[in-house]
Amino acid sequence: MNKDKALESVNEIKELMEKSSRFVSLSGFTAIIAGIYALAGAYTVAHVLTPDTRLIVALQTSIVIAALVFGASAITAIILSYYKSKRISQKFFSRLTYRALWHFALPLFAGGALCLSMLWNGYYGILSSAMLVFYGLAQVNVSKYSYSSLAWLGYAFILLGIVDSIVGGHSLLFWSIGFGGFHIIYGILFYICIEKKK
Amino acid sequence: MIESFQNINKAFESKVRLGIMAVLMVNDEMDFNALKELLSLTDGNLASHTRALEEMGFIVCIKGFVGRKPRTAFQATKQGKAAFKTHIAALEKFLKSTE
Repeated sequence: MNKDKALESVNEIKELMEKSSRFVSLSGFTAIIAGIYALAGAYTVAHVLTPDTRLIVALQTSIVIAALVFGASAITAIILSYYKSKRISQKFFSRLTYRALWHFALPLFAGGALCLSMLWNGYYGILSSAMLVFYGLAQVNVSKYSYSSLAWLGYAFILLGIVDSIVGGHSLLFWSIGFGGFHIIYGILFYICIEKKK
Repeated sequence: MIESFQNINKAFESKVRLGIMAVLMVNDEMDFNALKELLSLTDGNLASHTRALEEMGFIVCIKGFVGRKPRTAFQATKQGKAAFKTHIAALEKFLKSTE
């Protein structure tokens, strides 16, 4: 056994372990697009609402726009991942995809339910913080079954959410920094560090 | 040099067997067809390698049914995992020694 052969088999093992246990069909482009949707949504909210808009109307508009942003991002992510999985010849509808999806969705559903109940009961103050924190937790959770760098994005979101809840009163700003800024930055870094290398 | 060779397991000389063990290290279980696709092997090829690993006690074979279709899945045993780890450690040591 020589060195080249040993090195080759070590690399092969690493690749196999990664490929067989992680969902790797995400792309940086997805994160960038999701960030752009979020910024567009935040921009719309900021311009539609004026100080004399009634609170209930303002809330309804924000919720509808947030839901649209979330839906559009999810659909984009699914389409882009589907094409990437084809390109790297991996099965899209596999156990790995379902597992990653489940671990991502669980904190998100818990957070979503909490946000709805806060809305229902009229606690609007820390709504954006809860969204940021739970989204961050979902990222950290899914990082074990997908790219491990997602955990860092998650930590950033959690931290931002907590800062948001302490500062208070700047929900839209923090929301845009997180869902817009962080996504775009992560997407660009992801593209440079992971996709360009290959 | 010689010393680091001692722990390089003969059973893992074949790339296919090393691949099977690698996949089973990070997955609790993996079914025959998924394993076949991952390693891009033929039925017969994979079957003979899994049989060899099974005979050494490194993996176990689980047979079951999904509806009416038979399903074969594999799991790594404790012994197999330990053997794989020793082998990888030996490989690493070998690589470092010649750097």
